[in-house]
Amino acid sequence: MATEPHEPTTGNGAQGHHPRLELDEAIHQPVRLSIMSILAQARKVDFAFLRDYLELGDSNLSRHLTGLESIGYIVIDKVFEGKRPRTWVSLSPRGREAFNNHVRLLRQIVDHPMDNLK
Amino acid sequence: MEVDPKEAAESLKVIEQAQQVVSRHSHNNGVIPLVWGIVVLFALPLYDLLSSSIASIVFCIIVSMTVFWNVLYALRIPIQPRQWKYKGPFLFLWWGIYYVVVLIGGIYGLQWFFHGRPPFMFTTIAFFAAAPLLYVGLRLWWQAQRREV
Repeated sequence: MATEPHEPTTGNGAQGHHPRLELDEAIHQPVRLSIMSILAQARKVDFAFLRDYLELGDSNLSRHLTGLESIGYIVIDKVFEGKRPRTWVSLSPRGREAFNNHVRLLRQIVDHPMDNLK
Repeated sequence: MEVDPKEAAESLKVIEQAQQVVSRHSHNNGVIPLVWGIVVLFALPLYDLLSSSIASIVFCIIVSMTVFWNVLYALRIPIQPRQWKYKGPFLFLWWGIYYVVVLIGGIYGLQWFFHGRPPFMFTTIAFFAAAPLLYVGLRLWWQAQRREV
């Protein structure tokens, strides 16, 4: 897991790489892809919802979120709503850019499957 | 990273399913307009069934309870969507004008037309007042439920 700010791949083929080689490893792992997919559609998401939906334990989800936070893809906001503590998770602009790029690359791979034979 | 087209397609499916999950568990799931539509549909006809004073008391109790439920529901909802469907200045203005026309125009217009209060006047108004809320609510609810996750 990366601990320094992660540089999202551009995926524009400027370096001549095939899309599959430019996929973001930090996102592609299934649990992280699910997390990023939900966050990409939302302004913010409750930690407890993510935990229940993904059927993960608190610590396991925290580990994934901390990993994504450490590379600057998500923002974790712990607040009190009344007396109730609540943790909101949202996508950072950097994370949104990386996610959009990742989706674009996946579509390229699906739309041009023969290119994978190269 | 090596990803074949099949794996990429499965990843895209996960992303598509996530979009559905967000719709289902956010304000865009249509529950709030559906509930308000049902409240309007069943609360306004009370004025046709009961005396005005009793109907007003019951109507206020029902609306207060719905407002209370609405606040609690909005606070507990786990996902805040990026975009709220059926919101915006133009739509807000449209809703406002529609309700002025339906409620005030309906009450005074029908009484003027029938030279008095016609039977089921408030039931008719309730139907027209609830129709857009039920339409929007059902449409959003259907969009949020249409695919299994």
